Amino acid sequence: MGVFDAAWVAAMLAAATPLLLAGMGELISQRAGVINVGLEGMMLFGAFFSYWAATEVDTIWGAVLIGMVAGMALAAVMAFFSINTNADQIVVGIGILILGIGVTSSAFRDLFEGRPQIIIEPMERLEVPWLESIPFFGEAFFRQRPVVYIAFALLPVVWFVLYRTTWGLAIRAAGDLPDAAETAGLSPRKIRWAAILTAGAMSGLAGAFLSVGEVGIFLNRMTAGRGFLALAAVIFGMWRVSGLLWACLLFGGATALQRRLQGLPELPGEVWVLIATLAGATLAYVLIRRGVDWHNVMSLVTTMGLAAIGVTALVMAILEPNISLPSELWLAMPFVLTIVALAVMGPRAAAPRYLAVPLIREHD
Amino acid sequence: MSRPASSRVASSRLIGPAVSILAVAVGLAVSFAIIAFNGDPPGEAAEALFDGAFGSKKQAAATVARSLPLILVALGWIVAFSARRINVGLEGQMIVGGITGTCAALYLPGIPAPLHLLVALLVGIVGGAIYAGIAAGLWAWRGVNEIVSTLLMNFIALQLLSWVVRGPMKAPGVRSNRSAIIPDSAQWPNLIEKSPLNIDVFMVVGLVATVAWMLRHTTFGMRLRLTGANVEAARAAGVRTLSISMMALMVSGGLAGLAGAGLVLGGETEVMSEGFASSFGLEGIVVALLALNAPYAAIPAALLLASLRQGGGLMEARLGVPAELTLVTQGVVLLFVTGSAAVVRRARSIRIDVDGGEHEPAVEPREEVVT
Repeated sequence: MGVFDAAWVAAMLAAATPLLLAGMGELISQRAGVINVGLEGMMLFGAFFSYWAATEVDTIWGAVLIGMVAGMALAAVMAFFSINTNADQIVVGIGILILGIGVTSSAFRDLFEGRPQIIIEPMERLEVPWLESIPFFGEAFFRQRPVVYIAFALLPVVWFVLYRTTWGLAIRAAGDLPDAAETAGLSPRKIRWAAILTAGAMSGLAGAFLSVGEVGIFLNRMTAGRGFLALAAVIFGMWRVSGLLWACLLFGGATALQRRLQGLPELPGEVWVLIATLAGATLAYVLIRRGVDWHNVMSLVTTMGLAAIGVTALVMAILEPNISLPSELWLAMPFVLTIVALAVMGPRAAAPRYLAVPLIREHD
Repeated sequence: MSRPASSRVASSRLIGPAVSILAVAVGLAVSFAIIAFNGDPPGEAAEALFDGAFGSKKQAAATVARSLPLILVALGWIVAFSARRINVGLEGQMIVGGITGTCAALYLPGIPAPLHLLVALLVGIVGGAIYAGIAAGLWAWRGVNEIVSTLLMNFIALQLLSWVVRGPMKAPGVRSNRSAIIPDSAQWPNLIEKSPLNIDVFMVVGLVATVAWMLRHTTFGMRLRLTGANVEAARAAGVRTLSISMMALMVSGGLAGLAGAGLVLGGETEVMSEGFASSFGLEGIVVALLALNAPYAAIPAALLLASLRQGGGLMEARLGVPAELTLVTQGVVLLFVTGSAAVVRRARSIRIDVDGGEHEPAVEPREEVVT
């Protein structure tokens, strides 16, 4: 399997973890009608404050908890301005992002600059007994850091809460039918508060995973756009839990692959095979689910485009030419895919109806 | 409705600047409280901040130069917002404008001096406008929310820039990732010798006036504002709201593209490197919001943010206060200005009983989707 070995799978899961954690928070918040552009800032808060706590206290889980609380604190600012003053969510999100970068980088420099760098012991990998000795699967899935397991275990929980509990119904109502929710005696504004705080805690955990979880150090702007990647994953997953999972795996896989390919002079054949397979599978899915509408330009473009990508990749896989793709292409791919998916889905993209719309009561 | 209409108008004229000044005061107060809490004397910090921004002729020139791209980006936001389209992709459009403008400057040789610069700037404008045009087209024809598409396209532009300065546009024979040196014929001439201030300051001021005039006194501007105020009414009045909104986004992108091209063609380094547009995109949005979307007010707002940035450097050098603290100031200012502006808007809309349709979803389902 060449570059797609157990180590790649393990790296993919690790790269998907922060996206999944922050993405679940963002999914809940977007389903409640709040688009949270400040995710990146909340992740930075989690990353910095958990690192700072880890240099002061001994328990790494205590540090992670501090990171989550820090994420929630910034989320509370977001909630106050976007809900209580009804300010524009996007603008408040930008403010939260700027604040997140500003506070963490100035505090980090103030507290740690000019001293020998403190590298704390990152979280140990948890080898699942017995399972970790299975060939391939053991290395790929069962020798991860604990947060990775937590992230994937939380996914069905989030699904259950969103679709099988009254809380979930309330959350979805706040995003889709806030007036109806209010009539039913719920408070969409309180629900949105709770959803934003949840997003803050989850982003804080995601950030803590990056700093104390993986490397044991904080660096300025170390989240490096992962907050926006998580935002893209929620949208690419069309606001569904399963969609979020696939999006995070795809984006995480691309990140892991890109790191892998940097050492190689040319693109190995198996990458082309994978691209051809993914294009083929998506094409098959589209054909089975919706068929081809010969009168619809978008449907034709989608079908032809997928077929063209698949065939090109297949030809490349057979010919194995000496070319390499720039690593930037892999890094830009998640964002391109998300925009393409939105364009293809068009008006059918199932965004919550009241996403980014402030809730204003008639007479407060 | 108890007060006469004239006093309401007078108070509403003053409320805007009051909100902005209050937000700035809160932002500065928070930052200086942090400085004081840290044990550094706030007075000296303020002095260093001022000296860094305006202490010498050279520093003042640098502050003014820094404010110019911010003004252009803010104008871009204002134009799009007057049609109620939100363009958060200004940074991406700046980058694309910078790349295309640099291409024109480097690869179209033999054009005489003033014309070469003009061509390069125009190509930069077109680059930014086309990049915004992608998002505009997706919005108009496919109903893709322009906030999401422009936001995500920032990251595509960043990767594109990282690739071109490392690959195709990399100057031969240098180690760092940067383009070749921009020929003199495509560079903005200096206004003050040996300072970053170029004669583009006149162009920017002219553009502010042009945009303000365009929004107030032209048919296009009126269509923009009508579309922004009430889509249904605009449509009923015969305004082609979809194309007007697309135009708004593209003009917005063009202004950002001009800012990006100007940064490279007027920059002190005379090359394009990976971080040339960094932070200007977001800061420009802060400027526009601080100016409460008024074109002329963007000038003092941009000067203020630029002086914070410029002065922050000296504050760090003298007192060891991290320069990033100015970002905290910016964030607080942004939050307070939008927060209080929203509260004021709400309070006023209740008093005069106009509720600007805020209960409706912002992204209305498009009926005229072309498929």
